[in-house]
Amino acid sequence: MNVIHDTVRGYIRNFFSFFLLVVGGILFFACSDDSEGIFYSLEQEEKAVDNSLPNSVVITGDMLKETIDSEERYYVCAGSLFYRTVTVGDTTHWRKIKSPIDLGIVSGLAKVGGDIFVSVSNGSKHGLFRLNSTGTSYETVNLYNTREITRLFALNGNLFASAGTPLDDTPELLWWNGTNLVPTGITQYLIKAGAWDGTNYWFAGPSDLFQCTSLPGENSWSSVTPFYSYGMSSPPSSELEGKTYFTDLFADPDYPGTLYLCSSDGYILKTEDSGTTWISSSDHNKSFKSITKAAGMIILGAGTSVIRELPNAILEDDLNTIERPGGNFSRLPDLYESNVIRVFGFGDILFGGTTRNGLWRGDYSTDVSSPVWSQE
Amino acid sequence: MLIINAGLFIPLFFQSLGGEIDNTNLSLGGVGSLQWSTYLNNNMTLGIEGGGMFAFSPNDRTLFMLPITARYAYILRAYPFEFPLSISAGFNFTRLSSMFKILPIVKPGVSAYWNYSPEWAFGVNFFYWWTPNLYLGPEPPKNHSRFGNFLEISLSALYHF
Repeated sequence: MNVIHDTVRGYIRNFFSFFLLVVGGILFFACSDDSEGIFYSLEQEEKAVDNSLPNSVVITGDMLKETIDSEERYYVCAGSLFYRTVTVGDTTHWRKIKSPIDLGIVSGLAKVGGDIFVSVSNGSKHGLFRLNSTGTSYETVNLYNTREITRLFALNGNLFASAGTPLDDTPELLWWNGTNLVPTGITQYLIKAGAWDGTNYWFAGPSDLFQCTSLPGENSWSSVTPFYSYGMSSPPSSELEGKTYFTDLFADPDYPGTLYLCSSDGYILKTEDSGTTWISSSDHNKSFKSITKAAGMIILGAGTSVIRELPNAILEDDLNTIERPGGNFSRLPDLYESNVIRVFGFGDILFGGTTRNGLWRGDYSTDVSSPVWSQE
Repeated sequence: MLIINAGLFIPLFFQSLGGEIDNTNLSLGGVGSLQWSTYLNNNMTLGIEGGGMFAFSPNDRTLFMLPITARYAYILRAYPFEFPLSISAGFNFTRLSSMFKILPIVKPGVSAYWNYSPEWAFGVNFFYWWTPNLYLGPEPPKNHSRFGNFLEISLSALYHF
């Protein structure tokens, strides 16, 4: 009997030795690259105030704040086009505008000359449509159906459209001449961002930057060459040298000639003299996707990361000090863990558009250092 | 003997290194486990236990904890009832959203069993989960360290081989 007990105890001893070895090994090799504690994250979390925009939508295009039909409204591209009133209150419901193309995704939104233009595509059918005078539905006329429009830009009262996709080997930039979209002369470049700095039209592709001082006219811009291209032998500024993966431009309307450029490989660039001289940040090791201004600050949307603030960029040209927003930001994991691909600033209100967690609003009006965040 | 448990997981509180107590913000959760033990003598068992729990955060994030522990129990008897006083210790595979970490865990507890037959017994468990979530910094910073305190109340079915 004792022999059997000794044998069983031996098995148990060996089993637990093996168990501890395996678990100890797992513990030793398991690394955590989290930025915050798991239990701490739960402790800090609060329920997000949530408006009626679906929380799982992808923000697929731009956002506008316009007064139409005596009503101040927000419009946002979130798969479909949605709008809600601003003045009635911040919890007024979003309404969806039925797409003129079956299963159409809205990619661009711009107001030019009193008209709101919207680009829509379902992959095989494409269109450029105007909203009707009440801004609540599309007009039936398709203004352009040749190619997919990926972005619309309203610059200095002019409409530009980036046509073509990354799978398309002949993307081009088009200009609305009042009746049609016509070529600008910028072809073979997939334009992702546009800005008007008070004097110049700027356009950015992933590795190229264009500067144009006038409208293209009926015959398009002639011999348009990039202001800067990645790998060019003599870049216009040493600060631009080696920079690529451009994602967004922002021209500060309060400071003519001032332009900000961000890239998905972690850089922010700024010019205050329409491109004559540039300053660059150091590598932030962030994937910046979008840049705007709200509450007197330059604010960035970052992929695989969160919204970041550049509190000293405007007055002190400090592009290296980036901060996470304050307020209840760090209590909302669906926001701070989101991939923020678009940021839109409207005075003291900032919107952050995400790839899978909808649209978030930061209200900086009460306290700039402590915005109140909620989900649309 | 083999034991299967299933029941409620009650989040109690988090405690910081400084001793401050705070709410877990977790919902009531569910818990289940499977345990194998062998008798060392008439009153003591030693075994291994694997299980898991889930609970939800205010924004519907799900906390998963999967502890694997060694379990020692001392059994008090008052036929047809048994009252095992137990303590488990091991490792707790913890996941919240994209965050993952293996934490230590200690689970003291008491159970009450009614012996239905020589093979089968049924009962209820009260297990306290104490699982430190400690950091040395710089990321996550040391002040993010918390001790997790939870309570498991589960029904149990025991089979004697």
